[in-house]
Amino acid sequence: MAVSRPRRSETCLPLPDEPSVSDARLVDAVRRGDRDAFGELVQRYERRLLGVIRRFVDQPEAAEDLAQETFLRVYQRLDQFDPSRRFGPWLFQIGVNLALDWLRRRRRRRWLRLFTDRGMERPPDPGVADPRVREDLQQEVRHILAVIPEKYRIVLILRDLENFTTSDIAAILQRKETTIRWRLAEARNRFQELWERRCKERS
Amino acid sequence: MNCRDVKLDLALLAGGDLDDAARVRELRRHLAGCPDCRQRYHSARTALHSLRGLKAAATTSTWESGGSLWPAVQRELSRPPQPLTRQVFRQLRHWSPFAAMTAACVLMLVAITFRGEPRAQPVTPRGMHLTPPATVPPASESSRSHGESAARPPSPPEVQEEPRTSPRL
Repeated sequence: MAVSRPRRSETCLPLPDEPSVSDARLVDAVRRGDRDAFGELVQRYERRLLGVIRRFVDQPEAAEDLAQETFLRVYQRLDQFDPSRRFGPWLFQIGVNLALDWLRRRRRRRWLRLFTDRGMERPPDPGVADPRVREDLQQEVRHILAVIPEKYRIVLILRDLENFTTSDIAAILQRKETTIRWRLAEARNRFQELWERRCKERS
Repeated sequence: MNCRDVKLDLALLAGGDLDDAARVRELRRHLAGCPDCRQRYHSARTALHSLRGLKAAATTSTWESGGSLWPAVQRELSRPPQPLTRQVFRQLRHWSPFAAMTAACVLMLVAITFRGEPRAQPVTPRGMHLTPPATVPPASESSRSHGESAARPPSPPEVQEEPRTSPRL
C-alpha cells in the first residue's frame, strides 16, 4: 500500500497544528512561572513525542511513563535551555535519550536473567527462517528493525517512520547533518539487504 | 562515476533525501546506463516502501483512547521535591546487581591470593639462642681492615649451652 508522504517543508518541527503562540514565547512564559504555558507546550507535543517513543519502546504503559518523564525533565531543565535553539528538537532529544536508556536498562536486565531460567527469549535472527509462516508484513519489518544496530535504527525510525527532516534529526541527536545523512544511507542499505534476504527465504 | 560511489547516494535518492540537484542528475544519468544499479535502486525503493508501511500500524496507540498527559505531569510538578538521598538511592538501585557481583569477584580473588601462601616464621630450637660474635675488633683496626672484613664471610654465631638446672645423678 502506498503511503503518501508529506513534503519536506511540512515535516519540519514544530509539527503541531498551526500554533498561535510560538514555542519560544511559551518557554519564556514558563520561565517566568506560568505553569499553564507549560501545559500548552505539553499538549502541543505530547502526541508526537509519544509516537516517537513508541517506535523504540514496545510497551504502551512504559512509553507513556517515559513521555511523562520527558516533560518533567524538560520543565526541570528549562533554565538550561538555550533560547537560540528550537524547543522541539531539544524536547525530542531528551525523549529519545530517555527511551534509549530504557532500552539499555532492559537489555541489561535480560543479560542478568540469563542466569535464571526465565530469560530464554532471544531476538529474532532475520537470517534464520521463522517458523511462524503466517507472520504479517508489519511484524517482519519490526523484526528487521530490531536487528539493525542502534545508531542506524534511530536515524531510520526518525526519518522514515516519524518524518523528521535530517536537520531535525541532527539537532535531536546532536550530530552534524552530513553524519546523519551518511547514517541514513547506511541504515537504508542494511535494511534493504535484510529485507531482500527475508523475501528470498519466504519465496 | 562508478557503481561503488553510487551505492550510498542511491539509498538517499530512493527516499528523496538528496538536495543537490546536480548530484541527482548525475545519478539519474548513471542509472540510465547501468542495469545493476537500476535494479538496486528499484529494490531500495521497494524496501523503503515496506518500511514506511509500518507507519499506520504503530501510531494507533492506547494513548489515543486515553487523555492528555498534562494532568499527570501537572500532578507531578505540584509534588514537593524528593530528598536528594532518595533520588541517589533510586539511581544506585539499578547498579546494585553489578556492585554485588564485583564485590563477590574481589572477595574470591582475595581468598585465592592469600590461601596458598606458606607461613614464613623463624624457628628457634628450644634451649638454644643466638649470641653475638665473641671477639669484636677494636675501632681503629676495624676501620683499617674494613674492606678485608667486608670481603670475609660472616663468622657463624657461637652456640652457648645453657646451664643445666636439673641435678646430675
